[in-house]
Amino acid sequence: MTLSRSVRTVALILLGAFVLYLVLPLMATLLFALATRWTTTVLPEQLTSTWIFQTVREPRFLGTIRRSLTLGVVVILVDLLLVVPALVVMTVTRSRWRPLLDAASLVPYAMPGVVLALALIRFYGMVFPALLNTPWLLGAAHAALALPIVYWAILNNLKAIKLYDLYEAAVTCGARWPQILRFVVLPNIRTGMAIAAVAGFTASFTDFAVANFVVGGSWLTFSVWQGYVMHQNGHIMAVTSVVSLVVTMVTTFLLIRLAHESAPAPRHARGG
Amino acid sequence: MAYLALQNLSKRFGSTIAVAGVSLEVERGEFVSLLGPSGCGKTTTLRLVAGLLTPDEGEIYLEGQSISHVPAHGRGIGMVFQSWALFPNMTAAQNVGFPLRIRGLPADRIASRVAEIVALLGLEGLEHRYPHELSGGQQQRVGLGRALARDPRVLLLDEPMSALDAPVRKGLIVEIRRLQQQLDMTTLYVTHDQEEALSMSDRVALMDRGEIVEVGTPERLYHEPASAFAATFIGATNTLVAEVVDPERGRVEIGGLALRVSDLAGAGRGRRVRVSVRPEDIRLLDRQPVGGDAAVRGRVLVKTFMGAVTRLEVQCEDLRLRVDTPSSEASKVSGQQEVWLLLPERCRVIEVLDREGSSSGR
Repeated sequence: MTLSRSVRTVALILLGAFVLYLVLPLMATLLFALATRWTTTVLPEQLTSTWIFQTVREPRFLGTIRRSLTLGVVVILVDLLLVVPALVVMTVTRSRWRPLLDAASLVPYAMPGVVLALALIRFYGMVFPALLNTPWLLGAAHAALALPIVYWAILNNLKAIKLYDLYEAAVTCGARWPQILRFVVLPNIRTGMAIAAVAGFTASFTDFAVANFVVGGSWLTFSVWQGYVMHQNGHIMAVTSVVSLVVTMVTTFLLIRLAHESAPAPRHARGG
Repeated sequence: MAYLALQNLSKRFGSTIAVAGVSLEVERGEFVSLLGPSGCGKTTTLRLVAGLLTPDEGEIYLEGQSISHVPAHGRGIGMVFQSWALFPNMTAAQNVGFPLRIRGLPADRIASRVAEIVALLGLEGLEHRYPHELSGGQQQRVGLGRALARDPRVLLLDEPMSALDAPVRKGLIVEIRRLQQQLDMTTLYVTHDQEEALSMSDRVALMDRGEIVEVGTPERLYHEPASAFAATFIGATNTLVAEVVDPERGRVEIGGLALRVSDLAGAGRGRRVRVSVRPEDIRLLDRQPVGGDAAVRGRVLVKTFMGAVTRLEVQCEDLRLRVDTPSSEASKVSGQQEVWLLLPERCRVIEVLDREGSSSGR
């Protein structure tokens, strides 16, 4: 089917507008991070690398990045370890509990981060106060926050590969559970795991609300530090935003490349 | 005891009885098909044999040993699936070699066995392709190769050709049968397609509502069906209600039309029976035969060209008969033409009816 010239023009304009909508704030943030002064002009008066060096020299910069990176990695590992075996077993056994799990997995989505954080603080304050203000509690909170993302990414991947059929094929070939997981399940859900990992990592790395409530300054994460910096220097805040974006993009690139290298994407069979 | 024996197998899903007391014996090297309509329990029976389901009742014996409680991975059974279920992350060769790889065989032995299977199935040149790069027929061959790779004790095939188009299916029918005979492989094949079952099998087990209603060679099931279900499910047939007029000589009458039947199944004089007459057993004549009690006149209503044969729907007073006649003869007949039909000398009673005309079982 060929589109008429006017339809193509409208489509291009809409696409261009969408790209601008996405790119302009990023460009503006980047420019602000490099601007000496940008108040009364359309573009910055002058560009400088001062804010970048000042940010990097900040004593808390590397520490908070390291913490947030570690936290993000731990969160995705915990979620994948929780979700993948549970969903694989539930799919293979055709468990009647899965719809319940589907609904439960959406709870952290439905609940505002602040409410989640306050609920955790109140609950653990009563039953296990030693956990308060610790990275353990923040890790648990972030794992819950990222759970729906990880859950649905893995579930959709399992549906796409028709796991039940593959399981039956493997078992009639003489495979046992560890072999099925190693040779059949994991290689075929690498894309789903990569998507889940990227989304889960980003949710954790960029979270401010929950981290601020649960640990605040006692175990400063990159996002919480960003929040503090915002009140001190807008340019440094802009630099940290660019850093946050770069970290997320690099992680995404690495994970997707890893998934693509190791798993060919299934396509439709040829006819006949 | 037979090589593979299913004894009184039953399986329920909630309140639905999927398999109800199925018993079947399969000899070593035999090709047996489970044939029946959708939902008759044939796939469930196959899955019970594979170990993918556990029977509620009954036992499965393989080489004299009960395997009812042996897990699927330990039964030594190869299975080909309707959906093919090839592993998308593996090439054709890796799929075929998978059962050997998980047994921890050395790479060179796996490679030589895979090469053997690839040659056997005519998959040369496709070894390094992924499933999505293969046609449906090629994928099914890879599935078959994977099932054969470890020399299974029994090969199970679950409607493996239902997703293939007709020419590919016909080719594979011949190929699967050739392989099965070449390897002397005990095979249990599930299909709803009578053509597949009849053309490939040593014996066919006809299933209906969770039960095996009849087992026999394809020829016997086709020519001597013992039930109305077998007569109507396998091939096309005309089922006619007749009245027994002379039980000693096996004579029945259908509205003045005299027929002889080979076995009245104990029906006495005046009893009504249902008779099966295959369309290809009825002869088409252009004039009334001399002394033909089994001849009837009718008018051609519908004429359907089917290649070598043409099917005619002929209205003969109250009877509507289907007649398969060689297309060369049928070309002389036009629609609405009057013709004479000669029914076969011997027909088959498929059901004895009670006094009211409903089924009382044979």
